[in-house]
Amino acid sequence: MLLFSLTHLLLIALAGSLHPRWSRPDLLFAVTVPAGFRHTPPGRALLRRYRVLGWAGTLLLAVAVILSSNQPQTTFALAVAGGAAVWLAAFLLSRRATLPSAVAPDSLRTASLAAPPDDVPGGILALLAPLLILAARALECALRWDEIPARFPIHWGLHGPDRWTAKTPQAVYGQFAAFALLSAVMLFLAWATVHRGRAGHRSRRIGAAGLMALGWLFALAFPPLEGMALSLPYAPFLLLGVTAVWLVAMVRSGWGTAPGGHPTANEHWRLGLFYWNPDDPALILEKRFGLGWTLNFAHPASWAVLAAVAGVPLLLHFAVS
Amino acid sequence: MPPLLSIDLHAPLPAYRQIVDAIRTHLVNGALQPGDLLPPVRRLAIDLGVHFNTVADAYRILAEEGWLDLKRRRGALVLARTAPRPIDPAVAASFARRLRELVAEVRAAGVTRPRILRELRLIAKGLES
Repeated sequence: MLLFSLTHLLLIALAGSLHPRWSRPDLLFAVTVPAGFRHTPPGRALLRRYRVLGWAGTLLLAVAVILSSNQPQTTFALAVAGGAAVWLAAFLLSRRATLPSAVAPDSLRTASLAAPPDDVPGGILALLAPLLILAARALECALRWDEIPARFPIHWGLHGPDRWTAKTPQAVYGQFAAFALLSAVMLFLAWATVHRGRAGHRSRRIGAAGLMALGWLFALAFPPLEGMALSLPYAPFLLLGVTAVWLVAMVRSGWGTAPGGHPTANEHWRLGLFYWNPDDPALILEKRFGLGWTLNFAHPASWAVLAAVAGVPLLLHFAVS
Repeated sequence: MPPLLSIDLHAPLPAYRQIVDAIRTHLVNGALQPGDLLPPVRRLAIDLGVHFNTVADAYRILAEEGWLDLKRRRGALVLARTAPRPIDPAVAASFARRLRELVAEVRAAGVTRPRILRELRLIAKGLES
């Protein structure tokens, strides 16, 4: 577990150290700066300071992880949560140091007047099908109730299932409800990425395709009930595989790294991480932090998405308690 | 290469007017042809980062001028605007005045006379062709 935890800590440190390369050239630590600023002496000094802070914190954390190696659960949590906290702190300190060099974003806005077909891949049927599949799976469970094992796995570790629950209607259908909610969130985000997202047409479709793949996967593979005809096996591996393919496709599409992206004002970014602009009609937009996208938290739909995401673990807890 | 639309949020001209002017220029120049479909109001508003009503107002003005047929959800269809419309006497009368005022404005802002002449010649050449 110690080696596993230290590996995670190292991976987080590498990601944290490399992350400034993933943002657009006119952004540094989520602050609008002149393009090429990061290659000037002040820009290089800020980057150096960020990496020194991050790696120094990581080294101290590695010592703490080694000292706590007799408590495996604490070791892993310390490595992952601590590693993320160290690099987040380095980011926030560097952001504050970068703000004096901020410039006003370009007031020029450009958009294409072409109108390519703007719909989620596969259309509305592909968007609604996962929820119908989940309903069909729930029906199958009701019809073949006796064939569900008296105890079935609900959590997997490195060496296979490590937690089980007894077969009860609450356990089975509570999980269906949780994954229906998760699937619905993914499908809504896919729809919103295409129709309420701000990015290139291709990037939006790739983003939506990945979210829809997750929505389909949550419907077909979770909860992974062995012996049921409509349940896909190897759910956790499928999830990892789909996510990996999606991330590669996102990087290749240039999401968040292309120069000349939509200029947003610094004052609309809380801590450089959370976007709040009631005058911006976009619900989903490029992160300033690097690869990926974020929600415009000035829109009520964003809070509905967060509430739904928070409801998933609550429903799962209710199902297996 | 599809035509692009650019607006400056800090310009004195309101955003909806800039959108009208930019699209009308593409229509007159032929960059947008009859049968072309412009993006739906929501898509263009999101891409530009302006309120939906800003784009809706611009499309409505262009529709009233006879350039666009507004399709719900699908966007705005560019119309063949070949039939000569009755010339608005007020527009014709104010044309020369507006042109003189514009030239005076840019000269006051420091744009040189050769530059202004060059632009006017380019416009005249475009009209002749």
